[in-house]
Amino acid sequence: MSVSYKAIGWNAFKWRYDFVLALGVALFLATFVIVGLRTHPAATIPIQLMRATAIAGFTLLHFILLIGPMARLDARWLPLLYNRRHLGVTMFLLALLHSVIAVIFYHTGTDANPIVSIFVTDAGARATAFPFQAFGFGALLILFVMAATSHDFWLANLTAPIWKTLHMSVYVAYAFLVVHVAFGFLQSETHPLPSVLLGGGVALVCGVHLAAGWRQTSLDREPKRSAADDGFVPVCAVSELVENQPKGAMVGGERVAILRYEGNQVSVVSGVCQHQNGPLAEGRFTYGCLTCPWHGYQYLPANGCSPEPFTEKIPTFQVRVEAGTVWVHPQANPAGTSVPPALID
Amino acid sequence: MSPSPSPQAPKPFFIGWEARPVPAFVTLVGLALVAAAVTVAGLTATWQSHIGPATWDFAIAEHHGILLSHPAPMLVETVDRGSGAGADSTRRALRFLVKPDKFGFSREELDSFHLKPVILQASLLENGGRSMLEVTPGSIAMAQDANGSAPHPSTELKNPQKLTLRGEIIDSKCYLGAMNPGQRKTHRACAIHCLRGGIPAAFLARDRNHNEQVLLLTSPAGDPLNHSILDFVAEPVEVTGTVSYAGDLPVFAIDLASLRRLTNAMVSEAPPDA
Ligand code: HEM
Ligand code: FES
Repeated sequence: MSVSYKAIGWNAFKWRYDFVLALGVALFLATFVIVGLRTHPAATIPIQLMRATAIAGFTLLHFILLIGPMARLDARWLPLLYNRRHLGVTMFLLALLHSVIAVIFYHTGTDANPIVSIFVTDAGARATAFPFQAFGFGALLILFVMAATSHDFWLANLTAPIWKTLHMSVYVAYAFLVVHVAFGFLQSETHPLPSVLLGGGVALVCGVHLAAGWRQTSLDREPKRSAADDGFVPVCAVSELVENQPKGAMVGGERVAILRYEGNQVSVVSGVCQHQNGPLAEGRFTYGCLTCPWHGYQYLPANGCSPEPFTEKIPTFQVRVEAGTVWVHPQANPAGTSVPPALID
Repeated sequence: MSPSPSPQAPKPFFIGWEARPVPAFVTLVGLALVAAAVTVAGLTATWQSHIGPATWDFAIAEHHGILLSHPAPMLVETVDRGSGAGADSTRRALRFLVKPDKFGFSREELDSFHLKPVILQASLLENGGRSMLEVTPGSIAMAQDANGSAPHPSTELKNPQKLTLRGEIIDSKCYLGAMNPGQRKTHRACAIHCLRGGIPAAFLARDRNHNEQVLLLTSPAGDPLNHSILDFVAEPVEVTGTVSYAGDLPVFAIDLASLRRLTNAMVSEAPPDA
């Protein structure tokens, strides 16, 4: 594993990822503006750019929202998740450019305060006067906070649960933007294409989330198991374990990862990565550690600690192997507690 | 769904910080996304609605003509019809006058120039045969004799006719070229600012064949309408009033009490009154 934050900051894969991202965004903006000016010769560059940045950003947001559940459904999508924050920051910059152009063109050159104007000027309690721009502003604020706190520095300082909650607000931003577009652009346009695209986008985002949620719910179902006198419960057969590939299970209401490694050792740790709650049970034992499939954070199976110099820790579980069955105690140990691995004879 | 793990051949496991080749699937998704981006951009750019043939030539030029302070601030300018127009090679253009940004002239500001020959500096906005001058501040001056022997324009309104029209209240400046599109919901806040700032209000009448016509909006007494109609701007409406003509400019003197909101669909069902 790399030895510092900086070392994992940049690598060949991220460079390539960002190159394709930059290429996609540049081609989107150029195509929109060039095609817009060709098909509508009287169109103006600022308004075309305002629309190009808005639609590029909103399209990118759809992709960002799809990667998570797609990776839950199909592991081949996992590499796309690895560098997702760069997509988020890029999307914010596109949205910011759109917002700045909109405010300059529609809300300046008057006696009014341009920011106040976003909220009050066109407001009325009906679809044809619904203040759609206020929702754009709300979304921009959320995206700003997320982009500003996207670095792992903030993840560490805000603590993972707070950071995670904060970043779940992307769904609020998305809902705001659906309102922003439905009560703004769609009220103006007479061609059906924008409505079809928006409807399709919302259906796709909702559908893929429902499918991934349904799969997670079935994974999170804990079968009834009768505990031994000392509280241990039988979780699986040793024969179900594949060396170096953890197996997920629900024990005592917690997701755990059961890992067979180094031949005959078995350890059980929390199945939830401390970084961003990644599914450790879908990770791999590599470089002497259980490695998270999302961003590659690593934990020693015997104590749930990241190797030096990292400080992440996850809870561990008491485990024993008896007559070909793996038994786990449902009471989690505090994160980072050493537990001797069970041995398979 | 990915195949279930087999102990013989473990699934490849991707770790971002490892210097490994990018999996082919990821490369494929990346390329598909770039292609999707270009497609979405091209389609949405092509199918934008309501971008009219409006233009704004930012070059400042000198304009001569007779100034009218009402029914809206305008310059009656004699312009070339262009080549091939025969013996009568000039015509009179009625051009609205506005200030920079989202501001217009009040009638009082221009009353001292009313029906007088003036010279001014301005840039030209045009859309569908209608035009407007954005006047450089402080540049209006009396001229000795604008356009030589041009006959005096009259401010008398001709051919009054009572009509009910469907369409939208717009600000004349954005529609004529300051913004494109300068109409409908997304442009509502901007249009409200312009009308509040004194830019002449206009009615964009639409008939069932999607033909559009711009009429200057006034009160029944012929005064400019700005603040009293703000709540209806950029919404589909129906309104009754008297259409008459100042030269070739239709002026729509409306009865405010008859303003009625419609849905977008109702506007396209409008009787071909306009
Ligand atoms: C201060 C914040 C914002 C303001 C004032 C604002 C304003 C506007 C305006 C006036 C329009 C209509 C433009 C037109 O087509 O004539 C629009 C459309 C749109 N906005 Fe925003 N917006 C804001 C934030 C956002 C954000 C954060 C996004 C996220 C990507 C966004 C996405 C869109 C999209 C997709 C459209 C439809 C396409 C278009 O018309 O440009 N907006 N916005
Ligand atoms: S969630 Fe990011 S590495 Fe596990």
